[in-house]
Amino acid sequence: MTEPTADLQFEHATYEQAQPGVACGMCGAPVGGEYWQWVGRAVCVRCRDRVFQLEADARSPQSFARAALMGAGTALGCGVAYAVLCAFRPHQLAIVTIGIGYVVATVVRKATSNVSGRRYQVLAVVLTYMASAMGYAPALWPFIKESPDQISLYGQLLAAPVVNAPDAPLVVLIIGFGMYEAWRRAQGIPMTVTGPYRVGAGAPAAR
Amino acid sequence: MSTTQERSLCRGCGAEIAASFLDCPVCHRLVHGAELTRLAAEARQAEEQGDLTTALGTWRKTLELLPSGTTQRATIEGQMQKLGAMIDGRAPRPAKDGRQGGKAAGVIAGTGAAGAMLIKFKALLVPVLANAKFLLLGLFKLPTLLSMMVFAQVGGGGHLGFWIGLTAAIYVHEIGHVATLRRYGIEASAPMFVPGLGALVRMKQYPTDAHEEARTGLAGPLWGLFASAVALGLGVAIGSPTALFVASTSASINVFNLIPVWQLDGSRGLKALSTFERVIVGVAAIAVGVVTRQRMPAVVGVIVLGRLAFGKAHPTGDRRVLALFLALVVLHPACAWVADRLIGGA
Repeated sequence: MTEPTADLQFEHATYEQAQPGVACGMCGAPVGGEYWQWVGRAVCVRCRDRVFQLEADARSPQSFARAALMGAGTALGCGVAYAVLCAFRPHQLAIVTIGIGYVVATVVRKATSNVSGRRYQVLAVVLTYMASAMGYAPALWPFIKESPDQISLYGQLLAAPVVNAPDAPLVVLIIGFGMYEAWRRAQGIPMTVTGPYRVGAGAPAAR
Repeated sequence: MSTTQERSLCRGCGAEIAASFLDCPVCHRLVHGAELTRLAAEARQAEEQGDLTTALGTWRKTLELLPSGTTQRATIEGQMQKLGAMIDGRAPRPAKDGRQGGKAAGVIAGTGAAGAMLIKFKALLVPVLANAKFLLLGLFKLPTLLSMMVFAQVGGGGHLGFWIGLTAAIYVHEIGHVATLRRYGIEASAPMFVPGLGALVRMKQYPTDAHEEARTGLAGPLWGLFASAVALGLGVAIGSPTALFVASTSASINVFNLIPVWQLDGSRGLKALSTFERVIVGVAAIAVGVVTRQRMPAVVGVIVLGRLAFGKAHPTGDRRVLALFLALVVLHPACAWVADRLIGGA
């Protein structure tokens, strides 16, 4: 068969859109005599510093507090909505917890300007679990209202998915999916920058 | 954090190239040019020999060495879509003698009805035997075998027979994914079981388009249907409630997997369906849920219809995927329904 692949050459990459010399993959400006590598792009010194600044901001306690506050608010909202949904159904609609994981992790990640990091992933997973556990609230609500030892009952609510695992393994499985989704979604962008790399003598400069 | 990292010098212009780059940022010379030339030659040779799976797998490897946005990449992706369509029957395979249908058509014409039946039988038998070898695949992989044993043991308790049967059914489901992925030349690991949760197959590459993705996604429930049916047949034949429980649970797990959310198989299957096809699947699933009084098919149907409001449906759709999705959404609940009735009557 005659195929378009027969004419391919693998000496040089030919781009569908013209590549202007060595331009910064973030701001488009010429990189000058050297460049850095970040998420597979060549970046200039100014953008490298912007990446460092973003990372420093994400590591700050203020950033974590903001993510925790926004994430907890979202998890609480999702958890209450999920509990209301469960109150009107004979069985839990655990598939909702995957959506909770998605929403909570998205909010946590956005709070860090998408930088995120391991502790934000843990935060998103914990908040997703807590919101998912609220699906058991309708069953425990009569006891929570009556009991003098409410702290213990709230503890029971948090432990409910684990305690009920033998009776409803599929529900726990789906909550696990939700937590995994939160972990995956809150992953953020790798912030490792490598370089500098010399553009080399005689290399064409970007215009 | 900034780190120094391995670098190479461009043979064309002498610029330093970061280790993760696939071409020189200055002159765009491809870092893996020689390897790409070799792979392309291999892929073309496989195409000429009619080994489309090898050709597709080899082209897929070239994508890992080509920067995105290049014309080379776009051309190869186009070729991969053509090969994928030929593999799953959406496009005719090229005939070596220049005629559509090639050797088989000639033989059928020469041997009449009996010959046609033989060839049809062969056409059925060859894929069955080719796929059967995949069933043994994971059993020779130590991590799969060990994780299966742990999975069955952890779940086992006083119902070890049930858990062994269910583990086998889940294994068949996962092998369905592996077999179809490999048919498209996609590298995938053998199934790994996670005690208390389920099993997974890790893809090392990704399907080229929605048609491939839908078929690889629905292959699990399709093979799972075979496993559930065998368990049901066994339960009926020898009067084993354990086998019937396996059939019912396996079918329910497969229906759960057809829910089109997240990374579940149904979500992958839905990607190849047009709006109209989605409506058909959604309505059929709800109807099955109502008739069999099962929640899970109804949930599948409601979410299929609900997703009409979010995201784009496939512009052209895929009749074969539609037929497969419909069959799965009807036959799995039917299998669970029959098994449950037999358990109830036992």
